[in-house]
Amino acid sequence: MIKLRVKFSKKGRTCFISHLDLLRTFERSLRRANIPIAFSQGFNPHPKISFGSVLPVGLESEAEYVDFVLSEEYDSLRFKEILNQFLPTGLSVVAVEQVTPDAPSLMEEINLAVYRLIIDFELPVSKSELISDLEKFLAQEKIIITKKTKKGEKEINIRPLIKHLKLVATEQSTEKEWILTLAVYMGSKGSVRLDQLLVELNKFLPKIEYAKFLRTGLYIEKNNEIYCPLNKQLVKE
Amino acid sequence: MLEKLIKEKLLPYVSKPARYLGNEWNVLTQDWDSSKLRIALAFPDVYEVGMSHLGLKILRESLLSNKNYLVERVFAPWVDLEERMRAYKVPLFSLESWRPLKSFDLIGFTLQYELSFSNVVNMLDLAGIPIRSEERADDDPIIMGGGPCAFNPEPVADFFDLIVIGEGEEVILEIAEAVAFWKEKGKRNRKELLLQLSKYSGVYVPSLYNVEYGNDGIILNIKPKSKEVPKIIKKRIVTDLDSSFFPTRPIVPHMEIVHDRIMLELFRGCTRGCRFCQAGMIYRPVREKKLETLLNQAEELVKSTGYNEIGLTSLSSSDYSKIKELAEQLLDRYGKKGVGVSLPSLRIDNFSLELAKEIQKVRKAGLTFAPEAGTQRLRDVINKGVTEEDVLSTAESAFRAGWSSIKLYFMIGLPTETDEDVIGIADLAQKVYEVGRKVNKENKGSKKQIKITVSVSSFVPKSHTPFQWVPQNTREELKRKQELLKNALPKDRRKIDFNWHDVEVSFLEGVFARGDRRLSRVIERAQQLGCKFDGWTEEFKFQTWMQAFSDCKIDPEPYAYRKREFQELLPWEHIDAGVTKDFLMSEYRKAMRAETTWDCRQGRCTGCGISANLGVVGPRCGGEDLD
Repeated sequence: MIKLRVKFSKKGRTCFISHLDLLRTFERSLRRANIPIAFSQGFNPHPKISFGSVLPVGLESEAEYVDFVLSEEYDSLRFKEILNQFLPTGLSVVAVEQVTPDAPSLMEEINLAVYRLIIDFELPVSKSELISDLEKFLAQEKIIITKKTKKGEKEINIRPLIKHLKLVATEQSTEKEWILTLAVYMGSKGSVRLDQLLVELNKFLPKIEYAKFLRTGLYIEKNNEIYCPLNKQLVKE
Repeated sequence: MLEKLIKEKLLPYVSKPARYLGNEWNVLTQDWDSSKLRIALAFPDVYEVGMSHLGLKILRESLLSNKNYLVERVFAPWVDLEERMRAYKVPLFSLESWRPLKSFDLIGFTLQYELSFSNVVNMLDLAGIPIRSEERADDDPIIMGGGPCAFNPEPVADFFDLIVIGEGEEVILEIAEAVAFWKEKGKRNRKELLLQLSKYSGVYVPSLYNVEYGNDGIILNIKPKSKEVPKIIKKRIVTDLDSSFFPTRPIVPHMEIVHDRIMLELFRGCTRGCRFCQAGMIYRPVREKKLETLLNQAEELVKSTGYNEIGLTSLSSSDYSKIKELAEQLLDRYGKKGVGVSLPSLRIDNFSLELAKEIQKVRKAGLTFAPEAGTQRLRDVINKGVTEEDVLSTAESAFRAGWSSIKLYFMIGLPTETDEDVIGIADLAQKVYEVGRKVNKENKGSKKQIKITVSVSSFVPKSHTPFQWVPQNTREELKRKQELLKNALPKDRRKIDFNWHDVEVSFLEGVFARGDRRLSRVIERAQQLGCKFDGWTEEFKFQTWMQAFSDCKIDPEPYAYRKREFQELLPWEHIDAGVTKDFLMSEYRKAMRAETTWDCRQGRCTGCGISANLGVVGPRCGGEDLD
């Protein structure tokens, strides 16, 4: 038994397939590729595939992570090459690394998500105006949103979950389209729904025509340092 | 333009957007501009239903054999997407290239059940294509239909430019060729193209026929408008399935669909001769594929799809002459890889059960049997060659083999049915339950709760069957019988569960199954009033349908409830399914005497006429020579 940790992207139309569909798609792709995925024991065996996060339907991502347990040795590079031939358009393996079978699960470790937010404003907006709007948004002590739970509605403060939100460095001064970077915590500390965050952000920004998120990275923040889930590479902010 | 709208304004806001992506595994990227003919294959229901249909995959395979043809799919958008499409003025688009359906040259709709008729009209409307054939201009797409409902296409005849009767995979290539040639010449004179196509074997061009009605609504005459047009349209069949088209690289959906597995078609046709069953009549003769063909196709399918289940699909799969060998070989080859084999339904005998036991080594599923009727007399009337002893002994073997829940399918409203027959359903279910209890007692260790599910549908008389003349039970009568059965079954639903069909749905199905051309106005009106997805309980609007009938001043009841005389001209009189009317009449008379007819595969020819009619002979057809 070996465990392969895989970074993959989910883009284009394929962003509309659900988490469950994604699992099924990987399972079928592995079978097509003749890659020996291991199955759980028991009455209803299922393939040993575990994801690092649940990507919301409709969101594109450049960096998702998944662990596959295989029943036989398999070369990482070959895995990438072969599986990519059998994945449907829009899904693509970016990198593969073999980890020890007892490596902590991705779900336990990943706690930070980074997004690119592309905003089309109705009218051109100046850079200085935008920077000051974002500052005001972040200066709030609390950003309260209502979360639906099984028991009813619950108010939570999402401000502590926002690590940073800033303009991507650019030459332009006044423009309709702007690109922002957003980093939010996820996992055990709680999570933010992007559509809800956008509603809050809208209160501080000029009128938006269209806004779109793209997930660009998932990270592990530990002891004030940030790592990549693959290779445990240290990431500079 | 459409791409951006669909991605940004539509899909993020609808349920199951994976239905609409069109980029699944095994989808081909084809060049729009260089293709000589652009064909869309349409299934008038949602994606997960349409993608479960083998016929669509076979037709796609056939058309793709010509590299000049571009072939895409289109399904009915679910109501939430339709609402947004109408709000944003997005026309119905094809799945693969997200292009307007209207920009295709040839569109083929499959007609699998009557309750999808309103969806055909709704899809044309969403596409911005004129609903009626006569309203279409030369540059509008050619609208083609086919499938089992094409054997009585009259209620939808006015919507189609042409309808294929019978198996489509060969004739569709002939049609495509003619349409491609017509397109190359500049798409002039659509009527001439249709006239030309009407001479092709298996092609019906409804606009070239006149139907005359008498004062009582009974048909006086169905006549071609000109001498060149054939009086009778004979169904097309494929004579050799081994060398015919079969998709070995079918599209694999991202999402879960109804039949989410490899579909391996073993044979076509059925010789059992159940008198209520339209499929058993219209898909004759029996034509099997060779074992070798099937094993090769299975091998390619397992490799190309990644599915973990091979479904052996045919009308009565355990009738395949080498079924045991096939199942064993498939299990032997793929069982280790975690790929199982499944049978859609089981014949009620121990051979089939042994087969099921073998198959289920890999995967355990529930068992389903279809005795269809509750008493021996009524089973003889419908020619369901099954005895109570068959049912009980097969059930006993199943319980002994470890199954604890069995589903039993029945029908109510069958011709000659009495209350005794209805109560017989409850008695039989109770007896099966008792058999399970007895087996449980013998195996003292077994703690499994025995559960029987009784599933009861309402009989709908269909065209081209021995029962095509009989009155359908009224809604009130069916409701009364459902009530009668409910009360005859034990109260504890954990032991014997009971489900039944909505009588209004069956009524509407009955109206269209034997309807005529005058109904097309009603379907059009119903769509205007918002009817669609009539097969879906949550969308079915019976009152709206009744409104549509009354707006068109048509009484639906005679269509369902009227007894037809043998000498009467039926709306499908000009459609020849191969089985003769004499045979159907003789079967009807035998039914009234509760006399059975043998399966011609196990004995003499029953004289259904299929062999003489279509020129297929000998073992291919089923029985030996005519007496």
